[in-house]
Amino acid sequence: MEQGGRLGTATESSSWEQGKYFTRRYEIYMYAALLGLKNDYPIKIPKGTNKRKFIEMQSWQPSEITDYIVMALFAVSDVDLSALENMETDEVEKELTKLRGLLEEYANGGFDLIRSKKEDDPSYFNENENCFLDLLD
Amino acid sequence: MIIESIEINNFMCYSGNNRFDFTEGMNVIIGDNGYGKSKLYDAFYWAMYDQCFDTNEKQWKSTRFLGKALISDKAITESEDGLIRTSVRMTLKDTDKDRQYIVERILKAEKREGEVIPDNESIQEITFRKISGMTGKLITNPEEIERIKRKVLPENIRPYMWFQGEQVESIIDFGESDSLSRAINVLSNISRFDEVKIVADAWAKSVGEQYHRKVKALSTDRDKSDKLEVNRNEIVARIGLLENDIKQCKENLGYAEEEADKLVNKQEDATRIRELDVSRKSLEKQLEEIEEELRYERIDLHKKMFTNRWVLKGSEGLVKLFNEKYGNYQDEKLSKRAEAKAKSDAENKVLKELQTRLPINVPEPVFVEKMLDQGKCLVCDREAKEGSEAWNSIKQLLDRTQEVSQGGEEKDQIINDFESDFRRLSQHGYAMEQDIGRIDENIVKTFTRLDRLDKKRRSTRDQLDTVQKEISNLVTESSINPERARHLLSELLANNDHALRFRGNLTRFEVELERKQKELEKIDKDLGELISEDLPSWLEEKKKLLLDFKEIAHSTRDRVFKKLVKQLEDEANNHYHEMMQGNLSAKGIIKLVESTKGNYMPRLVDQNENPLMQLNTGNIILIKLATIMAIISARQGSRDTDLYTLITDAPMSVFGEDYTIGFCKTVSKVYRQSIIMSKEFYKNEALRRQLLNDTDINLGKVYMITPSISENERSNRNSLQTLIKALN
Repeated sequence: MEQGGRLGTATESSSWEQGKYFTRRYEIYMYAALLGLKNDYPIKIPKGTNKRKFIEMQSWQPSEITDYIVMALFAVSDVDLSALENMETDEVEKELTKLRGLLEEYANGGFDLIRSKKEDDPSYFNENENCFLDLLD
Repeated sequence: MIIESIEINNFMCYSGNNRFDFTEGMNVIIGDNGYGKSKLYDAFYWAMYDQCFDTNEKQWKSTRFLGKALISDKAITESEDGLIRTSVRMTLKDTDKDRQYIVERILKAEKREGEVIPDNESIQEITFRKISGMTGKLITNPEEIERIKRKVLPENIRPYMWFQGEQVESIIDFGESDSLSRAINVLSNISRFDEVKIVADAWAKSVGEQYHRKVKALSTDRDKSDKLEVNRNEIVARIGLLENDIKQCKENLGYAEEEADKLVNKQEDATRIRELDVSRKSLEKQLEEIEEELRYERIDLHKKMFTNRWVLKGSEGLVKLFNEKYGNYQDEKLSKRAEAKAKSDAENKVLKELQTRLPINVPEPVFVEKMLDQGKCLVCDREAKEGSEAWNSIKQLLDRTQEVSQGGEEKDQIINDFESDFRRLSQHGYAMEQDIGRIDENIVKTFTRLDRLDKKRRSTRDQLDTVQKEISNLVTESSINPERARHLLSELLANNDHALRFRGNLTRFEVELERKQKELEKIDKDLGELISEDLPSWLEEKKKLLLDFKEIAHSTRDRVFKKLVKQLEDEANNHYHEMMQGNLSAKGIIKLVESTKGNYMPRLVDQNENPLMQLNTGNIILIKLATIMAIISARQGSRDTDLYTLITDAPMSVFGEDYTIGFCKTVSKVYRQSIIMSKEFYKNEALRRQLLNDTDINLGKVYMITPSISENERSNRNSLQTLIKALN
């Protein structure tokens, strides 16, 4: 987060100079979610954890990646696609809420992977310009 | 006087107590740039003269302005509150007279609550003692102190004995025309001949006036002689003015010639600086473009995490997982549909069986409904009352139509239809999977491009550094900045125009002077013809004698001076060629050329005495050093060179390693004791071995100095000290 997710209003051109990997807050969230999903590493968020809302998913860019995340969530979830079609609207809503929870768990997992990498090698994110790319290997 | 030792305490980078011992011969202190060589030179200078040379501002500064900068940072950091003592102590020995002098300069500073406040002034103490007696006497009389300091190093020879490499050029400044003459005056007895010349001139003038008064007194025609006298006075006044103009003109011309000489010598450096400056600008532009491109690529690189979908790297498994799930969903969906179709097919079969006579929708349902309303068959015109068998048969025709149409448009029995959404996700996953397969290739391509750009940037930056370094060296050595280098040619042309004008004026003045002198001679002759009796013979004799004396004084002075110049020229050439031994490039001969205004300038000429033009700064400094050495060695055996020590910091830095050993041999031959600070022997170990083993070099002590903190940690000087290691 220090290297890549320093929050602020960097423009695209200044973000690299400031050592930021991500321009927008949701980008690192997308990154973390995909990292968690790829490694199948969800971490449950304890009940009562203070969550903060940010820009809604349908506004995330690029939309192909957002769609991909949705696809991945359906893939890893226990939602039965056929069963979903036979549910009443409120039940469908419940399932979708569960999916959202799952997204949070995987993003949490992804952030945990980043944190543990930083703990193992404190200089990893400060000294390696391509740290977030290398982390995908 | 020989310097036996210098003890340096808490002075600049010399924290704590440090000591160098010296002997006769050439003592060398070896160290890289920034290792403390110049600070050692500063220590000598400060101890004697309370000044240090500020290399940034190129000027001498006294303790009052240097203040805290004189005190070691380590001493400041590590000492407790209280007094911090900075001192430099030089021990000198007069070997002939069994005497020792200790010159010490002390600066006291007080540290209070971490703040260091140095005294405004330093204190100098000189102690005298007989070596055999071992008892010292502190000298407090300021006049006596000055006398001893003059013995150590007289003011007028200081510039030739104690100097820094970067000062060499100004010691004999070719622009300051009489500097060589001045040096000759300082180091020779030529000034005594000048004194005799002045006396002879005064006597000749006085006898001339006496003679003229006598001629006037003996005149037979007072009116005529008065008229001639008025005329004569006018001519004498005019001659005075003309002589003055000629002197002025010669000075101007001499200056212009020397300036032209200097400018011609600088042309090569200027041309090189100009070329380098053009190349610097072009490299700067290139670097800017590369950096801009690289910057753009780097910004783009981070964007590529999303735009090129690098973030999906290695996530193909998720697509497969979804497709498995979607496949199952589709299978389920298809099987449900097949089931429904089978059911519908079975129902339709039953219905089909019901259709015996008429095809479906025949007659059209509207007619069927009409028949049911009217209660009769409109086809056979028979009665079919509502509820009768015939009426029911007609109604069946209508029901059959509805059932068949329902069976044809069979729908899934579901609440929400997400099929198209799931299909879209699946298709999207497939498309992404294709892209994911190409991510690695894309990353490699991007990084290869970045790497190429980065290499290009580094090599351009290296080139730029080299060019800038070369420019900066050339600028320091030649004192021409790039701006001046651009205009040097026009400066030279303008200067030549001035010289031409001065030469024209000089010729005009000289012609007029000759005419006026002839007129004066004629008047004197006319006046002589007016006298009634012979002039006293003693006066004639006196006049002749004193005019002869004047001529002899002038010619002797010129002869002695020319002899000195010739001797200097020979000595300078010896030294020059000795120093040049290591280098095989064309060298030329030093010629001390007399300038228009009677001064001498060293010039490099070829075998046919044609001046060698386009010398670089290294050449010029070698010529200057050779000339300085010549002035010293020409007087070898006299007291001056034996008595004073040459102390010089980085004298060889300008002319390169080829000349180093030659320089050392020459120095050790010319000076009884010298202390040289040099970086040339630091990196080049072969050269260092040569220095330590060459028997042609009369070597004294050799030291290596190194800083206690490596260069890249030098921003914090609080623990900096200088380590001194004796190499012999």
